[in-house]
Amino acid sequence: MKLLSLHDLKKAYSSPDGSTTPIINIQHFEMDRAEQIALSGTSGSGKTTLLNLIAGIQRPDHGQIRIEGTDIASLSESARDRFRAKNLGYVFQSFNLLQGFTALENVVLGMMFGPDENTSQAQDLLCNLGLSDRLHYRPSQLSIGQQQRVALARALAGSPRLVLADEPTGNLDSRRAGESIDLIRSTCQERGAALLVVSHSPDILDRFDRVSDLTELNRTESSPENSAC
Amino acid sequence: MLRRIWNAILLVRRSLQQHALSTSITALSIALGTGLVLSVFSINDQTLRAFTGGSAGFDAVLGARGSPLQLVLNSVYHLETSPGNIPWKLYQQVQKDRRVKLAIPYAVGDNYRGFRVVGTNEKLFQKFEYRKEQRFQVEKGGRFFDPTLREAVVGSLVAQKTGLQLGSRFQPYHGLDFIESEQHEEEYVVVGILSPTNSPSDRVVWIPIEGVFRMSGHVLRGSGSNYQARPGTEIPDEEKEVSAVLLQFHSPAGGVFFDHTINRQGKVATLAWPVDRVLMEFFSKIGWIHQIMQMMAYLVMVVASASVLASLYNTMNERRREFAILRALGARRATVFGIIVLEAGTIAFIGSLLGFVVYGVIFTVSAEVIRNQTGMVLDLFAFHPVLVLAPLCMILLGALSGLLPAFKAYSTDVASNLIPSA
Ligand SMILES: Nc1ncnc2c1ncn2[C@@H]1O[C@H](COP(=O)(O)OP(=O)(O)O)[C@@H](O)[C@H]1O
Ligand SMILES: [Mg+2]
Repeated sequence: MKLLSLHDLKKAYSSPDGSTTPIINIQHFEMDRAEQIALSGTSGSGKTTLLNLIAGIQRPDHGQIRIEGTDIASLSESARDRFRAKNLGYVFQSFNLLQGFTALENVVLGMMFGPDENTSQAQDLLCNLGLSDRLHYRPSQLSIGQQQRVALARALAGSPRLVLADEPTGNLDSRRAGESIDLIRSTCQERGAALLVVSHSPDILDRFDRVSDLTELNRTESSPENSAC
Repeated sequence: MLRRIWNAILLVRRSLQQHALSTSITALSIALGTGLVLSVFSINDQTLRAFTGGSAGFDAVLGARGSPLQLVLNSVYHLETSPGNIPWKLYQQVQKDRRVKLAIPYAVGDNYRGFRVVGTNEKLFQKFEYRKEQRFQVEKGGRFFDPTLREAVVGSLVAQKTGLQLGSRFQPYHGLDFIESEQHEEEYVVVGILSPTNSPSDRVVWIPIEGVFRMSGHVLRGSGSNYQARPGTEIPDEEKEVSAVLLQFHSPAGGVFFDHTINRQGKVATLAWPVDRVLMEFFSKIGWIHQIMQMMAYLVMVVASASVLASLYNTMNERRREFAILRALGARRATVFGIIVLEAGTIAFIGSLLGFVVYGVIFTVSAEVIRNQTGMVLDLFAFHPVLVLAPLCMILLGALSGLLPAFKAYSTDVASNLIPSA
């Protein structure tokens, strides 16, 4: 059984003028356990939308999203929430750390809604990522790179099967971006989690063995935005 | 389960910390509402109890024709003005009756710095129980007055407020209200300070009744015509008069009998009997005051919970991203909803706790006023069901006010709020 398989997946947005714009139209996509894949795509090509669909945050208009055999597209919203809490980790483009909470608490939040929670595991994660002396700092007291590592630790907390990362290095310079993507990759590997990164940055894409192009995967006619340019 | 509660508490605590200012303001308004309700109920209940709980120690008051309530307030509680006097003969008559266990005459008309000077006899100290099995006692070194001398026994509150001590000499003032220029010539010496009784007697200066009769400028009208006492000559009984006679009967039958003979058949006097019922009727007549205060207190509680609603609702917009993040981490809609309701309930809970402080302050101030006015002592720590019910209701109301903001949090869209709004 594949870790992730998408089948005939469709998602369209309705524009303000009433017409619908197809964003995602993927016939078939698969990913193995512990595999690491980068998806490239220009800005606005639907990368975030795809990750949200896989995470169960958004619902597809059509098709199947199987994770470990479970079609999450057919689950109810609260079942998807539970499934996400248990099986998925998400590193957001803007990290989305909660400002009122310390680094450690943010990581604990990553397992809070899942089946088990373990503060010492959260602490270990942060220590492994070199943040042992920043456990009780607020996000605003951390550098961008440190914030990103907290976000990574949070995504890995709760031992997910699959980590989704949405342009995780968007705010870093290219050298740091490279270092940080290496860290993400090695940490996921250590933890046995598969990694699906979406990015438009060549610095990142170059480091992956398997890179797919979202525009190719997507059989939509190019979006009106793109055709206008 | 325990972990969930712990987590919810962490989430709530952090968010209350982040909005510390609005949290404290809201909690304060809750505290005010709760404190008011606690005070209104507790103080009302305790005053009612203090006045009608049999603490008077007398079954009936005999006095001038008029309102029984005025009679009771004047002679038992030393409040209000005196309705007038009755002839000494009537006192003697009642005192001799076999139905009467104890009859104590009071003569009022003077004060010392606003505290009443009451003329009475030594039976007050020997026989009268102001509470079951409790008689007046003098503090160490003191004694009760000699009925033939110008001696005074002073209530504990009077001693405390005026500074009168054993051996102090003072001249009473004419009238029930303190007017500096109205000082009598007679000088009295304090021979005893009463131990505190937590009753109206604490506010009284007791002197021999003969002293009141003989006070300079006092006129007796017991026989119908004016009589002025002269030093060295005995006052004939028919000239004497008293303001009130406080009575204890051997059995309620005595009350029934005198009620009949004095109130129905007689025309010269009024018997206020039973003392408790007279006050009860009074309190039920002024019950509307309590009801208005109650309503105002309830209103403050409602306004306070509305402020919970408003302050939480206002933060919902800026917190949309926070909810979206929690949802993306796997929190369900119901969880986010529950957190906001819990947050509202927590603010109300903190407010209710602070409400006890507000209650303590209002109660202490009111109790001091009531003690100074009536001598009645209220107990801050006396239990009343409202002490449990009001905070519970407040927490419930608070949580209810959280429902609307919680619903807003509940309906936050995840995908569109995960992106920074900037
Ligand atoms: N809620 C929405 N309603 C309408 N259009 C949307 C919505 N979200 C995204 N889009 C559009 O869908 C396209 C893909 O968005 P997104 O998945 O965020 O792209 P990417 O992450 O690749 O930049 C964009 O053109 C965007 O404007
Ligand atoms: Mg994106």
